[in-house]
Amino acid sequence: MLKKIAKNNTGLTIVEVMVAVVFLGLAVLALGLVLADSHRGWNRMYNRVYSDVVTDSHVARRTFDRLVRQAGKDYIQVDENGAWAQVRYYADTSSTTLDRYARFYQAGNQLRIEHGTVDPVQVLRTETVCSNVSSCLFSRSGKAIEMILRLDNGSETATVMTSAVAHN
Amino acid sequence: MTVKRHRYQPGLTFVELLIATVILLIAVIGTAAFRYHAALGARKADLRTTAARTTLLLCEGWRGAAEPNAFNPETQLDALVEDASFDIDQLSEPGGSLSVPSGFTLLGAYRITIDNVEYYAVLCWQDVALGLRALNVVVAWNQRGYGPDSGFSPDKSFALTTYIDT
Repeated sequence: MLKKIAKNNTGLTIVEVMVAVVFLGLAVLALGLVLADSHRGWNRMYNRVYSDVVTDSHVARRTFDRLVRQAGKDYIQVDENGAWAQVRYYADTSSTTLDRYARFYQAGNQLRIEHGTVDPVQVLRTETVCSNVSSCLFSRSGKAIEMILRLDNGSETATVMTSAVAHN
Repeated sequence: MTVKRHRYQPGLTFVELLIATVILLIAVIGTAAFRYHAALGARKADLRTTAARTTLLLCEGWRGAAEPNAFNPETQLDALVEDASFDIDQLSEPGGSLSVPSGFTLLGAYRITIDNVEYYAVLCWQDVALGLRALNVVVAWNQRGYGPDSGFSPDKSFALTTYIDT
């Protein structure tokens, strides 16, 4: 007996295929837009946390705080135009006087600190704290120094407003 | 011999279509909620960080001031910051629902605008012992970040207290 094979000749019409392709295209487009937007958002968030101006601003803030906090309160000097600030600090635990100085200033697009000995006045080293500096101003309020630092790398900006009290 | 023709028309039932739609909807809503909360969380963190740094700035400036009773951050900072993204104004009394804690004396209340977000600061002090004064700085903000001129009802605040010899 011959086995009858049921033939399924039904298929997709061109219209059905076109409709399916259009729907698939829309789904892929929507998914692509969501992924692209997510990627942009992630990049934006990443840059807000880890971009060079942001990390530079953290370093500048911490360096400024650390040095000013260990500085002597009676030896604070700030330029009348706010261009630089200078403090004195102990070189190490064996120091009996405030034998070192640190001078904060802007050089080009960098924030630098010049370290040196007080007596005799001699420059020991110059430290570059951060780059991308567009402006840097200092002011004094009693035993505290305020620093307003603006960083700009062309695409992002960051502003550091910090104040630290000299404790020694 | 008759040819038996099977008609086979595969397709989706209405229930299958509904289930697929619900699953798709759940995925879309989940993604949207995740993205919304991620953006909201980032904004909240940004506001809190700015408030904390502003509080520390005021606290350190006040602590270091030669005359703590004459400390005025408005004159101190306004002269230094010539930027539209930052503004500080002194108020006659604490803004919003802020108040001076019991036993403390008000030094000043300020409205600080940073990147179009308003923060309200209250500086007050109390002599807690002979020769020891507590300096209290509270900075409050609205978590939803209303801009200027849109009313102010702080729902978050950050406070720091430091001590000085008098």
